[in-house]
Amino acid sequence: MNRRATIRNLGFVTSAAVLTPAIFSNCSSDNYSLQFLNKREFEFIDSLAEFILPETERSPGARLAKVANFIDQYIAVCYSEDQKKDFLEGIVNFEKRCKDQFKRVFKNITADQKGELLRDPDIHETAAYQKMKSLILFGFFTSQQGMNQALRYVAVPGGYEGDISYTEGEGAWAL
Amino acid sequence: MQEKNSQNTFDAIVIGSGISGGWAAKELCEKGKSTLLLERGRDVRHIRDYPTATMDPWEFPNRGHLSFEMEEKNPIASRCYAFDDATEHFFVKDEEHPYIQEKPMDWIRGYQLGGRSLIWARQTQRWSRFEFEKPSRDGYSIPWPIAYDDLAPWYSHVESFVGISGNKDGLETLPDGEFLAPWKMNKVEAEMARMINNSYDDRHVIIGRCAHLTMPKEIHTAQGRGQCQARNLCYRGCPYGAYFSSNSSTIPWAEKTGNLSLKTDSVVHSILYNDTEKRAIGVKVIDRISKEERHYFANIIFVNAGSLNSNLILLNSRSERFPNGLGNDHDVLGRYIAFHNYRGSLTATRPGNLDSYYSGRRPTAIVIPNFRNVYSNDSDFHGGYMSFYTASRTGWNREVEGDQFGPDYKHTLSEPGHWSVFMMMQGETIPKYESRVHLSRDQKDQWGVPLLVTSVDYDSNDERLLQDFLKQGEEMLNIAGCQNIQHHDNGQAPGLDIHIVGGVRMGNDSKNSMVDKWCRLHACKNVFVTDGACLSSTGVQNPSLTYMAMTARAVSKAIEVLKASL
Repeated sequence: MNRRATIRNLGFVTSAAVLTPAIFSNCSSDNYSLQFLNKREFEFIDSLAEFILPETERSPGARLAKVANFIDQYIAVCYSEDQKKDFLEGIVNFEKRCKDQFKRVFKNITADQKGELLRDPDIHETAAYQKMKSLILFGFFTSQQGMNQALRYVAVPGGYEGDISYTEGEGAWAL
Repeated sequence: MQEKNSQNTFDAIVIGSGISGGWAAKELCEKGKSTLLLERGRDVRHIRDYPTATMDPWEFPNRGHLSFEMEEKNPIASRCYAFDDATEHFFVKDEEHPYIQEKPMDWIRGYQLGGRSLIWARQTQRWSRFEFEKPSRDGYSIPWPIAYDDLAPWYSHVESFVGISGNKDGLETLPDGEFLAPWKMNKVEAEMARMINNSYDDRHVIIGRCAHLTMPKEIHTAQGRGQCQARNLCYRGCPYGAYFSSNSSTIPWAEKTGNLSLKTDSVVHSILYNDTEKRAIGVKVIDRISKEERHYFANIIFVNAGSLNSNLILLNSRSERFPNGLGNDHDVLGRYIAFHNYRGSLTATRPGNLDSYYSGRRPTAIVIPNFRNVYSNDSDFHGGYMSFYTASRTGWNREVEGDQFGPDYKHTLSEPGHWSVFMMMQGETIPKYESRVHLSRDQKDQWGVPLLVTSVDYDSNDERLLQDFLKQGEEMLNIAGCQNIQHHDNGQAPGLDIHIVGGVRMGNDSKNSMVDKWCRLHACKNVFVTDGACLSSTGVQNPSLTYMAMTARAVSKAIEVLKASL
């Protein structure tokens, strides 16, 4: 019960924060400086991540979990030069497709248009998109917000129980 | 040669502070023997030197993944399942300690106080009488000079101190030990166990036995160790001391006796042999940092450097009497290397039970002791295998139906998914003359020690055993109500199993073995080799418990030898 209430309260506070332009346009508000992506690429990843894993009443979304920050630094440190090149090319191709279809970049199209785009197999079946999406999921579900508020995180379980009842909505263990 | 003095002379020297070396030091010190414990790596103190032990996943910038640079520079270490951003400081980096692979072998090492006892998988099963009897009965190795009954009291001795959780299952193929409370199976694992147990007479499904304090006893709290919290972050070092390591247990225990001298950063170059006295008199050490050479002297030397490094030290210990390595009169040293076959695994799904979940992160799995070639060689291969399985509910990285974005998608992925099952093997391999390690003639490491050359490979027996596991595994999963059963062969190189054994194998005949039934070199009786190097067959069990029991047993003999030499 308490957990639910906490999540709702957090949700309320943070949805106000999302509207703050500083967070929406760059990372200066949390002193994060981009390591790999440029500002436009960052904004693309940020809006894609939030569209795939949006903030809801139940839990925060990718933006609050700073998934785009994570992806930026993760690629900088964990990707080879070839993988980095492929990743950027993937963004270019995606945005080109988006502009051809809707005359705007991804972050500025409507939710319906975003949905239409992501349902298109020519988009979601590409290796580049699959990579982006798996990084977004990984970044979110391993973040402090994702692990504690979307999932359930217990640092020190204390023991093991093999058969406890589960009711939908409780959330999967984060680990 | 340096002169002997009170500073450099001891009753015993132990080379290596890993799981067996720690035991040698503890037993010798408790018996009042002044003991020098040499470790080639840095000092790692329990708790103080576990920098990541209590970090949350999101505190790691790459969430545990390795950087590209780390992976690029460490293709060998990176293949180990336990090597990640939270544990890499306990693993040897490839370029720091090169070796030469005539055939592919992944040699995973941990050069620090405690060695790999910090990063082991902690599964502990006794060998049964069959592991001692089968190799010569079925003709794939020399007779073991000891039987299960010789080792059983020593298993009990180490189990009580280490703390082993397990259930008394009463199986001849996997003898019971001194157990703390067992871990539980979850609902699906237990259902599967019942279905498999009901379908076979010769197969038994039990909960794994592991070196975790489920209910610490006085002997464990006296070591400063506490109860396992089911965090399953063991490879980072346990701040509770709940799993057994040299660092949390044997080394501080030995230190408390006042008889232990501990020297880290001490790379053992070779064992010094005196041709007049006809015995080993000490060791030559190169300081890891200053590269300065030092000599230490003792009446008894325990070689516990880890299987391949124990081979390396003996091979490099050349004298007029032993031009081919200490105790190596018959070209046996470095040969008959074997390992565990971990290539096969199966994955499956299991419908239902969506209202059942579990809590906590259990540090062991479900175990099916070996059922092949037990009473006779009844298969088309030699040796046997143990099988392990776990059942768990899938997480956020599973495939789900519907739109792959939006609130519903996020909520679905936040729920536990269906049950999935993972099964794997641990197979015996055959020790062969041609499976060997030897020294490079022209390449040395920065301490002047020749590089080790490895030449170990799979053979057709391993292929047949693998196929049998996959077939039997599929049959058992089917019986247990699983669906979508898939076979996997990871094709991994020997060595990634970490269970490399042999090279200094035990036997009665000094012409085809290196050590006697007390782990003493036949040809140099004051040198004991009690790590994996002394095994003449691999067994199907995880080997560390057997190394510990062998070590404690060998020390009891060494004490006799020391008494006689006074």
